[in-house]
Amino acid sequence: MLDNWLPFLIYAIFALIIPASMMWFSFVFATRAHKRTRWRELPFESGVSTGPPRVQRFTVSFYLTAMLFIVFDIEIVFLYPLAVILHQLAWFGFLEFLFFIAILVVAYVYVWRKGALDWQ
Amino acid sequence: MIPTPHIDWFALAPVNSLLAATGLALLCAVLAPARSRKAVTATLCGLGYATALGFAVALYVKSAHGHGVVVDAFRRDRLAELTAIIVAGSGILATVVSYRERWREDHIGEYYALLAAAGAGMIFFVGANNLLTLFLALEWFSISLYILCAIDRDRLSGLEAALKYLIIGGFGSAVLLFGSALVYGATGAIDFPGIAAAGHEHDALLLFGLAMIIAGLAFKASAAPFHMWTPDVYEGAPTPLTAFMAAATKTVALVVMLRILVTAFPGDAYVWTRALAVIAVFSLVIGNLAALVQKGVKRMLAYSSISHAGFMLIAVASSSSLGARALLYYLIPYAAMSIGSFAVVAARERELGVPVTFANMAGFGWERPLLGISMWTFMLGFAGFPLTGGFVGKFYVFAAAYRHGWTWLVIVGVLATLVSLYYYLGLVRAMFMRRTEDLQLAPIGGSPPRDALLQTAVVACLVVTVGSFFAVQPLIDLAKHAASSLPF
Repeated sequence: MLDNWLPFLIYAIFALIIPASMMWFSFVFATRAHKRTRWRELPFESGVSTGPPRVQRFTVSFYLTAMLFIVFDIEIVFLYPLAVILHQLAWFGFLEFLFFIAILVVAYVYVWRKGALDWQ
Repeated sequence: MIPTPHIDWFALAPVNSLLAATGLALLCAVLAPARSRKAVTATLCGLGYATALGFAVALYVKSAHGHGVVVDAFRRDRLAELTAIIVAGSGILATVVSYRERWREDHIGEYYALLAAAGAGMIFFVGANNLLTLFLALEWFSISLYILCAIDRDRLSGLEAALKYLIIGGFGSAVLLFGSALVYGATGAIDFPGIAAAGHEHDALLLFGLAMIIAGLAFKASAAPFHMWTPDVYEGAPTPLTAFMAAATKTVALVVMLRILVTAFPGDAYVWTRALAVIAVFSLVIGNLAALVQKGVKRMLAYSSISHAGFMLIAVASSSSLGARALLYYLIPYAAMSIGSFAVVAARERELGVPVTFANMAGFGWERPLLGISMWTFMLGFAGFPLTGGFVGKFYVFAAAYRHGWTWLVIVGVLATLVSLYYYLGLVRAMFMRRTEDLQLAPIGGSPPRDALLQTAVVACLVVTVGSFFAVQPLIDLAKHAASSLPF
């Protein structure tokens, strides 16, 4: 009975440790003075300040990087199911996997040489 | 152990060779030194098309009995292979015509990479055997073409054309996708034979889906009343690309329309034959009447391509083995005449640096006799004169309609041909028969050097146009074997 729940327990412990450590570290490594300004009194909301929304202009580099991130990130998601059953698929799965990676590499080299990864 | 699918790599070889060319050209677009970039990527694109052509010919020879590959998603049969041959031939010619185009060359590597990708998508499209593959391949080549229209970022007309094509093409794709969803809803099948076997012929849902699929494909074939994008896009896109679109896109759209209607909707033939006849009449009337008043040569050719969509839809509408043969034969000289005529327009455009009109074609025939006589032949071919394949093509199309019992459609077609003589011969008159004071023999800025590559492509088109008249029997046999892949 307990065995079934052990992975969940470990997972839950990690889920608690990671955000707790982040909050703790932000106090430990804080370099600014401990003055209590109005903004610092507000609850921490995932880095988004809870004021009226301000009109902000992002440089286009953010969008470019975000789009490239999504493209490559989604493609990596396809590799997870393959990794789980790679032994059952044997050589066929491995070759298809390599082919997929090769396509990604072509795209990566193109993006890199085009300078889309340089921050301007 | 999971059973892995058997993949017939040979059947996919034409698509894969073009995809390999795309990948390599894309790498060369960023890795090759800027000086040799154009030569290297153009060579890769041309080699990709040549390899695809070789594989398609081999597949045609070795696929006498068509069968499905990749879990029946894709057909390996002579219909697909003959069309692949036409697409690959058009691709080689388009690559050659593009080479000396005068444009900003900061995306030249991407141009050739996308040209190869578009061809790969088209060849995949004609082999599609279910609605998913159909849509995937349609988007594959359409998106490549949208980008290609806008590849020369300095030309506003190109950007305008790309945007119009994107919006209207996207709308057409959405209609096709919605239609596919309705057909799936009605029959529970997405593969073409499965849809036919489901036996829901008189289902309103299925008929709605069928109508939307026809509309979606008619957008791509630029048949009226789904033609609105054609003149603007053909006029605004770079001329070598227009040549490729006019030849290859129309070819694959019509062949796929024939395949899906005959294999998936045989029970509804009484509906779609009539619908296609009406679309054909619309295309003939609108294409020919609008072409009469055009001043720009590219616009005239765009409307002429709409009227030719009408002629070829007559062949599809007759829903017979003869009709399929007529369509497949007609596509061969039609593709050659389209590429050839747009290539001649491209040559004049490069001399003048302005859009080519009837007025500034004056004297071109005397100035460049080879291109002039070729253009003359292409115009006669479009009009359906003997000594060109256009004559035999139209003859076969009318024979198919007559055999189906549609004499009225033959009469409409003949009247349309008569009207079309005015503008086709009008261009010949502009090139050869202007008064001396109208002649603009020397273009401003002196004559540019002769473009041997473009002339070679035009001569190749001329050979196919005239050759298809003299080699009727072998070509008809090719078309007959291809048409026998369909269940008539």
